[in-house]
Amino acid sequence: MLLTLDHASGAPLYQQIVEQVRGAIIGGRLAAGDALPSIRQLAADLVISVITTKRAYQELESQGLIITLPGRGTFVAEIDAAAQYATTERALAGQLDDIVRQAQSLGLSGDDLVAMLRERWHATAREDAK
Amino acid sequence: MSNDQIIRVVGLSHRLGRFELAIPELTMERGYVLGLLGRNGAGKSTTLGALVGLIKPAAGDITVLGLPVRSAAVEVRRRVGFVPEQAAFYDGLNATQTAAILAPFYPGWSDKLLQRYLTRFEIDAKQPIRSYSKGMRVKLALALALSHAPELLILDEPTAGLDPVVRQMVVGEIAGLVKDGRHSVIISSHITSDLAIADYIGILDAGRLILHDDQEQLRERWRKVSGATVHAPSDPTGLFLSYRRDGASFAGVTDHYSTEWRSQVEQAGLRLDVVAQLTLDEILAYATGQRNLSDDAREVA
Repeated sequence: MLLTLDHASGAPLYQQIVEQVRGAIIGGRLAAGDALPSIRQLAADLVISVITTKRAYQELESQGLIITLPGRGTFVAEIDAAAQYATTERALAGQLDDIVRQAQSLGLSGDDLVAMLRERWHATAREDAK
Repeated sequence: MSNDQIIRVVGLSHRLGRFELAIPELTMERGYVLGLLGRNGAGKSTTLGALVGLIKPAAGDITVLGLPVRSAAVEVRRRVGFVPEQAAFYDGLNATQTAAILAPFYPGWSDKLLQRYLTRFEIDAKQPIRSYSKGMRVKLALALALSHAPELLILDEPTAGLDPVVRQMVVGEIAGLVKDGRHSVIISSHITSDLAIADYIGILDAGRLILHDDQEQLRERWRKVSGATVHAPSDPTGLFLSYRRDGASFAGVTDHYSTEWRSQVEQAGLRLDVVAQLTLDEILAYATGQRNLSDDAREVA
């Protein structure tokens, strides 16, 4: 498992780990039953604190993406597609919240933003169709 | 929570002229890294010196590796790997000769470990120490400290004045050491980017431990925010450690960020547009009062 952390991004390090491992699992690069490095091994590899790594694993566990078997290690879980969809949807809602706040700080109305979103939707669909 | 405390400091107080160090309590569990931050003269070196019995505090009880430092300082120093800020060597000797002098003092000494670290740190054991660069001296001090397989490694500003490659090597070595959960490290540093490996952060200021927490909690709770004043806000300054308003926009820093805090801020008539984490440098500056938004017009969180 290879991860890249950006210390300058301002995004919490544990969150960067969660997102990358999550992406690898949902994208199929890590399969159910694959072993993950131990918390302390990963912390040493990434040269970050054990507590940060522990937090990332706790988060991945609470999202049902990994399981820890005492004495045996940490493994990729059998993922529940519906639950993962719901989690992804929640993450998307969070990103939309950020966009809404940015729009508000620019003084856009809700209708302005919806119009802009619709325009982007069609532009992206046209782009993808090429 | 394990009771395996690697250090335990209770009621430490020490006076040096006008400077007074006072640490009511500081404990640390085995298997972790504690980073001590603070400005020059904040008391970092005094604290580390007291842990290994090189400084005898006027009052307080310090236990290191289960040993009372006051009565067993020599035993503590035999079992702790200590790298002081300025490691003193006999400059005419080379690394091998220096190691031969030190080895009998340490029950855990291993020539095999020494060889391993000399090779890893690319130290030429035959060259006299007087020909060493600053980085080489630090690497030798670290190699010697690690060669007696200490359960606790204490490093006072190990990376100050080192080039980035050597710094990363030193930090990587620390991260590798605590991997087995049996070794612990206490490191003081000015270079906060080297403290990403610290599980716990202590901030010293003018002899006081003004902050001590695990790094995740610290980063979670300390946030800088900015946004707009929605309606005539009630005085929100109590919600912030530092706050600045400029027309319809505001910026602030808090050390108790939470969803509850967010709603309090919103109730006070502020709209949060940007919420960002602080760097350790920024936390240090705000925690010690060196930086304040109200006299820092450049800051936009």
